[in-house]
Amino acid sequence: MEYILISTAVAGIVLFVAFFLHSAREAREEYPGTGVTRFEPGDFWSDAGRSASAALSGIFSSEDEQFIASEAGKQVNALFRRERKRLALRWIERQKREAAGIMSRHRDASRRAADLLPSNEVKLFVRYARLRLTFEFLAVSVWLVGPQRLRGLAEEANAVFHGMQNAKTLGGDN
Amino acid sequence: MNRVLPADAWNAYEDFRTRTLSRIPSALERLIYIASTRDYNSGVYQHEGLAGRFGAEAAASALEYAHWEVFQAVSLLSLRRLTEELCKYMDSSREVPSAFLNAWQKLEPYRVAIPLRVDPTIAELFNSNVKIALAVLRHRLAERPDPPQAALLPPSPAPQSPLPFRS
Repeated sequence: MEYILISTAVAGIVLFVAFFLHSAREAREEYPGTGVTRFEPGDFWSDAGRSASAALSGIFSSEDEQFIASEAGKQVNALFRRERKRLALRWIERQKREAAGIMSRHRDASRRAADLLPSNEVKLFVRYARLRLTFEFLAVSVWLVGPQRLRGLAEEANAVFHGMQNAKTLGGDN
Repeated sequence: MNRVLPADAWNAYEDFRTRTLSRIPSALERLIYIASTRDYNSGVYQHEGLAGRFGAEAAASALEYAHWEVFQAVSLLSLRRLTEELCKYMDSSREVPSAFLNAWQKLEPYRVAIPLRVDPTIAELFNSNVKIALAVLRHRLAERPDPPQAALLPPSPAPQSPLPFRS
């Protein structure tokens, strides 16, 4: 019995570490940090995050679905579903890469920081793990049922993502 | 004083908004008009009237901001509203609807209306929504085809844009 428990615990830890390393590798490979437009404070496009949140409402909107159902035939309906699913999955992938990039940059900065607060680090990591799990669950759900019934979950994931971004901002570079 | 543009660019933007954009009835037409002021090769916005009054740099900044603002608005329209906008734009083009839809669905000219610096999610939503709205209009057209007279009309000799000339 003990053997099974220990094996399960070890397998869990290995999976957790593998998950984390995979995220870190993704961040390095897919979010190199160069070539990404950085906006100066005060520039009008610096609130792009807010606009992207508004776009999220559009992608996961059930209002559009009702319009298409009432207005168009099967082909347009199929096009609409395909397009919305594609947009939703692309958005999820983008957010995952962005979150992995934040963690990667944060880890690099942490290595150089002299005044790390372990509690903040743990909080950020837990938030990141929760975010990854939420995005994975959301991606599977979008793939299975389409995005129109998942707006609440998407908004929650987006809120956690922005919370992570803000935590990073408030915590400075470390 | 605003926080998004320098004072001279803001004045140029206000002037452009009140004197030009306000005369264009629909958001989609405003978007296409502003995008047409951008040089395809350099990406720089040019407007002789604004540049003469406020300077070329201020005019370009004002147009870039106006483009960004209108693009956000159009991208975030519901599909119902966007389809209405597109329908109005199609009517104002005075093209035969089937010809208009063919051109827009095959050539996808709306892609050039995307600002250079924009959130990729918004840009994708815009492209996708226009694609769906065109499919809705095509579906409507299939149910109510072009009247034979209209289909037989020769193509218009020159672009008949309802948009005002650049001042």
